[in-house]
Amino acid sequence: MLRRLLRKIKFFMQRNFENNKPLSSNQLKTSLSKKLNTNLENIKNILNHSSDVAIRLFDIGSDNKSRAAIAFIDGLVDKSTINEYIMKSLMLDSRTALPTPLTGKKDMLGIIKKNILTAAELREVKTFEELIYGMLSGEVVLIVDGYDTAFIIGAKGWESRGVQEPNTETVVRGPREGFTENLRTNTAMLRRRLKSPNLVFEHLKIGRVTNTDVCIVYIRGITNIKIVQELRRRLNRIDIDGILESGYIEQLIEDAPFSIFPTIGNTERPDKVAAKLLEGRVAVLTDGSPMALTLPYLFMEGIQSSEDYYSRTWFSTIVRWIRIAALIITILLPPLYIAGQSYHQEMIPTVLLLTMAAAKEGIPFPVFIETLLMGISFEMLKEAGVRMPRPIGHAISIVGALVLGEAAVNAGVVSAPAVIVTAITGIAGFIIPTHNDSFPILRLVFAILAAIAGLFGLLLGIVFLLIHLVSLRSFGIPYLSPIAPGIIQDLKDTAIRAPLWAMYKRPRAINRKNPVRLGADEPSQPPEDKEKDG
Amino acid sequence: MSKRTFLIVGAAVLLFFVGAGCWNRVEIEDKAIVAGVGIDSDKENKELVKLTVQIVNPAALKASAAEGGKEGGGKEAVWLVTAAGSCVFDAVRNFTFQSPRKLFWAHSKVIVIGEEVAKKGVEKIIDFFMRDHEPYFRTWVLVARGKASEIMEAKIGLEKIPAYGISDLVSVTTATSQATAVNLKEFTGMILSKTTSPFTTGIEVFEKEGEKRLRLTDTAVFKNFRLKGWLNKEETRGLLWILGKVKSGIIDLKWSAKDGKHVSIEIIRASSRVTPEIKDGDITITVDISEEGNIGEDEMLFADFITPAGIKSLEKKKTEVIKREIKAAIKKAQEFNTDIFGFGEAVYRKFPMEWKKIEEEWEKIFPTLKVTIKVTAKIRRTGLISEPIKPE
Repeated sequence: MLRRLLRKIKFFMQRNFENNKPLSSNQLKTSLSKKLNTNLENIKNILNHSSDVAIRLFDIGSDNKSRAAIAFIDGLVDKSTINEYIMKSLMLDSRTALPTPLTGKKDMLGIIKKNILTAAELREVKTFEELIYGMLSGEVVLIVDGYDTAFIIGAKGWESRGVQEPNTETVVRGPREGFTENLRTNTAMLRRRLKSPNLVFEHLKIGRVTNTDVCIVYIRGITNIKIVQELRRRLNRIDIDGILESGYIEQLIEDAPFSIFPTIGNTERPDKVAAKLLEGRVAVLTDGSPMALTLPYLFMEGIQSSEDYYSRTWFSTIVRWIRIAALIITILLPPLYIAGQSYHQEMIPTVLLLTMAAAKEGIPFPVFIETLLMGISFEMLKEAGVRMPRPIGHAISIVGALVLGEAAVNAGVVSAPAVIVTAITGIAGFIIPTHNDSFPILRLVFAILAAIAGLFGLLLGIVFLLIHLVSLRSFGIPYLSPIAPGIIQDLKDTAIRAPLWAMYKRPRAINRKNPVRLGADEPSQPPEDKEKDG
Repeated sequence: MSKRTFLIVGAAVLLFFVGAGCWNRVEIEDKAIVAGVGIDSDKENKELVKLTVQIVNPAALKASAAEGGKEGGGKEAVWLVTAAGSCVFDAVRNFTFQSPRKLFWAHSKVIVIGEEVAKKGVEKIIDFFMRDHEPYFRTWVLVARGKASEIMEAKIGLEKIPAYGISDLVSVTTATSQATAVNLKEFTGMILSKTTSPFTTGIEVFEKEGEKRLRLTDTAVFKNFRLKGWLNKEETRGLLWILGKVKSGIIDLKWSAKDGKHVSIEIIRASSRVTPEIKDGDITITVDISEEGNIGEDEMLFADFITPAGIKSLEKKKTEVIKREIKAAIKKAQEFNTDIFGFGEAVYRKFPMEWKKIEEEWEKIFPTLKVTIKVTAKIRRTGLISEPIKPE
């Protein structure tokens, strides 16, 4: 019985393997033939008779004696463009076109190109490789019988998400636009912000199967060209079957793949990318992903938000302080709580200690287990909230808040201070979203250290963390700059956000050539009072 | 990461886990938080030290917080435990026979020394509290009039934990400057000096409405570790004037003896300077006090004070009161032959060479030491109203 089943499975497996050989490169490299039918057959064969390949045969010329065909991938092209500017031109206008109506076989291609086709994008190809990749990118192929040259006509147009406000980085003040999955739209959004001939989009194709379009973006003259060269080198080294999101690229080119800290930034906001480009950074746009990569990425960028520069100095500076406080709280509060409760009761103010002791009375777990339990529940809640469909998400947050907050304390499973610590920690973690994925790890490690050796262990952990941070580099730039190594000039944009008129130079850490971005180093003032003199 | 570094880091981390261990991890719920301690000698065997400690009972605090005192009323917020031993440390360890949790001294705020023990000498007691790492130097030192255990048993309204109530009482003495506030560090500092005599606050139990209550009382003065005598309120402020420790307080000027009407002056700031001088082998000390105050209360129904002359007369009266207080303090100290003011230290600082000769004789010099008192008292403001409230 089992043997029979196995045999059957084998049979099916063999059948499945029949047609599973990849395309040989020779097949692609062949040139087009002069016969239309051969060419079309070839296209069908190369594309494996896929159902989305559309081929339309028709006659052109006033004598209807020349045959031609267009081929495209259905769904990737804009049909109205094809109807209006390709088919109509070729089938109707070609008969009456002046000065030379299309007749006979007199240099038909030249006439089509120069007089008839009204599409803007057009190029000639001679091999199937170019032809097929053109089609797969959404272009239309025009082949005329008797010629071994084909036209590739640009008529891309597919369904895509419109420009929306980015969900991950919302602002109160500032543009609402976010990148989309469409590379062209994204480059256009950047070009609209930086109308300079020096803005360079460098095109690359990565991914053996996906052939994903990737764009290196930088501003010539501002960027350190060595960073671009290094980026280019790293991108060209990538040999992978597919790039589905910019995260793939990030992980394949980052400096410290084992570190828990990201050395490449990502953002959904074109204004943010534009600002980073102006600072001398380089961006990488990936087709199919709204997340642009920016590099070099420094630790300090985690506490910077595009809104800081749109709001006025004072408020931005205060917000920066809050973020720094949140950073410290989210990493250190649970370990400090554990260390204080298990080792250093003498350091806690008396009244607070009594409150804690009262809350801890009758709780079955030691403080470390208690904090760990709450922390894990919180991470679970967070994950569940992200993955769940939106309508269920609310139910989860209610259950989570009730179970975690109220019931656990009332039942005497965990103490109220532990819940408070976990809640504050969680909220503080959300304030700095860019580093948020490294926080739970740090928190856990520090909590273990604090449980083993109190403040001593915690301090040791912090020292190791700092050693790690100062040893990191992002594309040659020290990760902790401008703090370590100290660059006094760059501190204007760290714990404080200096007024824009005072930040008249670009960050020195990234950019040493062409640093001046602002003309005058002084605030705007009302004109001098003339009457006073007279 | 190369294999070598990986091994080294791995070994270091392992060592860290094994080496550090959990050697002194005691969770908060396994510690008995001592709020205050009273020290007496044992009833039967006078050689033994008897400690009475107030241990905080967190469960009582919790119940009262959660259920509005319904259940918390039944439970005492503190647990009184006594233990005796041949020395303080022995007694402390003897607590473990009674207390299921180990005593934790870092939040102990008061040390109350029984009068009997104080008279016998405090040298045995202070050592443990200075040497052990848990008790804080900022613990208040007090001397009980009577037994320290009675102080520990008494209650203070508003405060659930009486020892913390005592600590708060000591901290608010600045309001009157008629009681001292001396912590362990200051107390030890005074002991360390060869000539200065230590002093500290007294505390006593009194009965009111059938309830034992606590109040701060006179200042205990020590000589060679032993309790020598007490300074009353007036003398205590005299002492504080000289030490420059008067921060605030009321100077009550009895204006007319007949109808007993008062003018009260609130002390705003005060400072003192002690300058010793040696002339022909005779030592004189000059104490300069400068004080500023506001009129706090005026029962006199005439507005004479609110004139330059009136203010002057008030200032004069005030100067006299301050002088009287200081003189009283000096007189008492000289009676006891206790240099609580640190005059000896002042002489040493100014005349270190001569001091060597004087030092041994200071005991004889101090009781007859001539002290000149100079007081500059000023009145700065008269309060929100200038004239007393009376029908026009």
